[in-house]
Amino acid sequence: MVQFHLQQPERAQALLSKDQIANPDHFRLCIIAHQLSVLEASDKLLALPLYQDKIQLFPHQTRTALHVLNNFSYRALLADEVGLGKTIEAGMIIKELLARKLVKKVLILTPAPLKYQWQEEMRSKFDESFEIANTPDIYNDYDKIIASIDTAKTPRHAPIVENIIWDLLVIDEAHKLKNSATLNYKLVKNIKKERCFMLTATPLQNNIFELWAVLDLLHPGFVGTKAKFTEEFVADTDGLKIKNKDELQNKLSKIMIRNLRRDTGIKFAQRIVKTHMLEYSKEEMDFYNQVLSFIRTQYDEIKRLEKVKGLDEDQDVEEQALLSEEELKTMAVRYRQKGLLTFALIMLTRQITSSLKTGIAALQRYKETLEDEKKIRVLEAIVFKGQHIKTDKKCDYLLKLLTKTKDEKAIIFTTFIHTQKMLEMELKVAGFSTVLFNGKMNPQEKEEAIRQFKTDKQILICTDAGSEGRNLQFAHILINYDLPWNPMRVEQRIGRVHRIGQEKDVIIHNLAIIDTVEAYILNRLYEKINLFTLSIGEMDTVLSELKNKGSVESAIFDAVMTKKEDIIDDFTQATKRVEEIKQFDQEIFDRPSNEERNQSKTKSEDKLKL
Amino acid sequence: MDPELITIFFETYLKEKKLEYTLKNRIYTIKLDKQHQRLYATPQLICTIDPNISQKKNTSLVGKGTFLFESMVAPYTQEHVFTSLNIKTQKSDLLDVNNRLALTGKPAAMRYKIEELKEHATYLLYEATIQTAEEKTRHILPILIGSQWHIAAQGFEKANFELNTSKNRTESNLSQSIKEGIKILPSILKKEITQAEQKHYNSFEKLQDIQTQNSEDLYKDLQRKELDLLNKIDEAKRKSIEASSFSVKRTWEDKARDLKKKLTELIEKNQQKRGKIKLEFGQQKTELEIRELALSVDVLAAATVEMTLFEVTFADGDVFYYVPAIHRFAKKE
Repeated sequence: MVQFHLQQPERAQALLSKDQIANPDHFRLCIIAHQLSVLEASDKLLALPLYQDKIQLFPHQTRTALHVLNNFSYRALLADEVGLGKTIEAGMIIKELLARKLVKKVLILTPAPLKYQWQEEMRSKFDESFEIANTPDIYNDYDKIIASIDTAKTPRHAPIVENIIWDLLVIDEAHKLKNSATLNYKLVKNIKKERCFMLTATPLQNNIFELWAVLDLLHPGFVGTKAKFTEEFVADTDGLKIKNKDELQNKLSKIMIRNLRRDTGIKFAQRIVKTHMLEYSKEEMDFYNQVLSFIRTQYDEIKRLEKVKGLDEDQDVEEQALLSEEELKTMAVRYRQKGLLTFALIMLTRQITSSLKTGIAALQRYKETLEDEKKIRVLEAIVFKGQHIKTDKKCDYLLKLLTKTKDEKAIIFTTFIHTQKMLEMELKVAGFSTVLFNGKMNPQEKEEAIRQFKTDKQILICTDAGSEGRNLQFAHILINYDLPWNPMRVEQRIGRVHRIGQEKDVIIHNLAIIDTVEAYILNRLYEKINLFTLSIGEMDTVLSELKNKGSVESAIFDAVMTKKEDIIDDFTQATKRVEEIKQFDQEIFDRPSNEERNQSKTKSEDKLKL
Repeated sequence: MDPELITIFFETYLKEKKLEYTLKNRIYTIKLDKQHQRLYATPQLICTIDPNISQKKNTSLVGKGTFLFESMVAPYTQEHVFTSLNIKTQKSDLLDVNNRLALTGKPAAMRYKIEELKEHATYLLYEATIQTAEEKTRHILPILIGSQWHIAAQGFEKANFELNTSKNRTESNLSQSIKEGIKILPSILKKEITQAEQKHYNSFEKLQDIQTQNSEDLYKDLQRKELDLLNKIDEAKRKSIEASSFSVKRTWEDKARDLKKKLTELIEKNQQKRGKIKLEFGQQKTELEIRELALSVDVLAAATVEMTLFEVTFADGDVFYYVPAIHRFAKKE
């Protein structure tokens, strides 16, 4: 018979050589607690009581967590459709495995932008504190770690990560591991793990071979080699048609879970979009046009900089090789200057349309960066003009709009703190009860702000930076006082209220001024890609399909300034591709809904009667 | 779930945290300190352990699966503790031995004698983990080990023990007891281990088969590609022989030459790929080894226990020890 071995003899030894001995009551509490920790563990989620009051759980989430724990506890792909709460499911599984003491050393690999979100979710929802692996020593010093996959694959981190035996490895956005030639893929392959769960909302992005690649990484050989898989299940060379659907579904069901929205029975709230195109007063419009004209001049100058030798982005390597050391240095400085200048202009353009106060503050800051006396004087004149504007059409309209919403709770989003403060003041004067929420607040202040909004304040004035990861679905009216240029930011705003658990339809008010950049973005970009009516989380997929992998803001700014609309076409194409692949996805994963099953049952019963 | 255990835990918790409470008609009214007020968002907690009362009076329930209870239990599950205990003799103990003699399995008519002894035993709470290819199960096992006996010690937490201030423990004795306990564990978990072994070998074999089959298939895929090219070369050669004109013959010869070149490149590439398959197979094997059948054990709590025992010697020579703390007999080893 196999013998037991003492797992951590040094710990047992330390226990015995402890100077401090526990008092009998404490000892009694510990021995009872340990015994309770294994009771009823197989058919229930032991840790559920610890978090169920903090999260609105849905039956499919509990079902999925239990199914994974009981049926494929070592390897699983959690591939719920977007917006069904995969992170929650993963959190439940992690928490449960920790509570059952089946895992200790846990590593979550995520794309870099999501690591803090994961950390916050695990802390606030599951009371589990995870360390972010910013330095390689973290992997050995802590048991529960979140790492950006791009950091973990670096030569400083990878050897350490690969040297540890992880009890549990969780990989978010697993569809990004479809290419076996990438370092990310190799890292995951080389990590020694007892259990591994992968998460993706889009197991198919282009073809079924991508799904095969992810599954083969998760459980090598389980779905066969690519050739075998193709022979059995793929009907065309592009991987866009399948055969033996039932067998394929049966095979997949043994390693992955894909809950579809219609199977969950959850009623998803609709998005009702109301766009308000407003007109500036004459003085506001004049001021805006003067600022924009100034920005255009600055941008033209930056563009001219590109023509200077050594700052041509299209210049090939051979030509660059001919440049002297000095010229190369100048080129590097100019690239940096160009980037910074463009960024400053983008910000200025956005600030000027956000509110007058924000715009003027931004112009003053921008003035300090200028050296040309003539330009400084021009800018001073513009600022002077702005400071004497008496009207604020956008703010007036907002007040009217809020009066119409009566006592309903509303969230006003702005990107800028200056606008936020101005709105707070104006709304207070108008008699509204408000509370602020922004990225400068500490966690306690944020909690308090949310609590106040939930209980007695009518309006939350929120910045983008502060709102990430917060669930505010107890409100359903959202006002975009200014519009982010990156559609993902818009999606993140809407995502605060339009998420699983929202019981009312979400009303989105967009405020934009006719003949401004915001109006252009709203009309040319957002409406073209149906941004406001996308279902929860779909924007992420659209963005991943873009050919332009650079900054969306820069591309949009360039489109506005130069009237070349490559980015708009890029978005249109990406949206189309996402639609196509959605249909293929349905073909593979769609099972008849309960209603359809019942209908077909009734039909066959009718046939029998006949 | 044993309500008595919940009551003991709950009341001991209130005592340890120095929370004042009153108990009336099975309903607790507890005045919370600041830390607990933050946790439960109320200055005063009114609750009950009885599910019926909870339902009838709409009072918070303290029990397995409630936040109230689990939030109290969770921190203690992270601790490893040691203590030294003393269990005083009760007047009723001797009566208890006589009342429970039937538990020894000896005929009632058999003669016996009882002797009272002092014992320095060890209480150990083990966490035994059985890992198979498809699952890992944890078992929490309390064991009492005496000088000539040992017994599974469920219910020890209900015993009336107090702190033993006299320093009588030695680390080497405890280490010895831990080793003895580990030897006993397989017999206590015999059924579970046998079941796990059966399950494990089946699924482990399946997992190994998947790995082996996969590697074999990958090799075959490479071979197939080489064979396909070889066939094409043969075909080109055959066609060059059968050609009706010199120009056609040359075309086929050129084609065969190109294909040969491709084949050489493919063989070279495949050589590397074969190396990679071998390497990955090795990695997968190592990873699967993590899921080999394994029995591991950890000591979660330990205590030296000074207590009175009753040695019962039967006429047939069998000797049992009655352990009042858990109301059970242990047979002399």
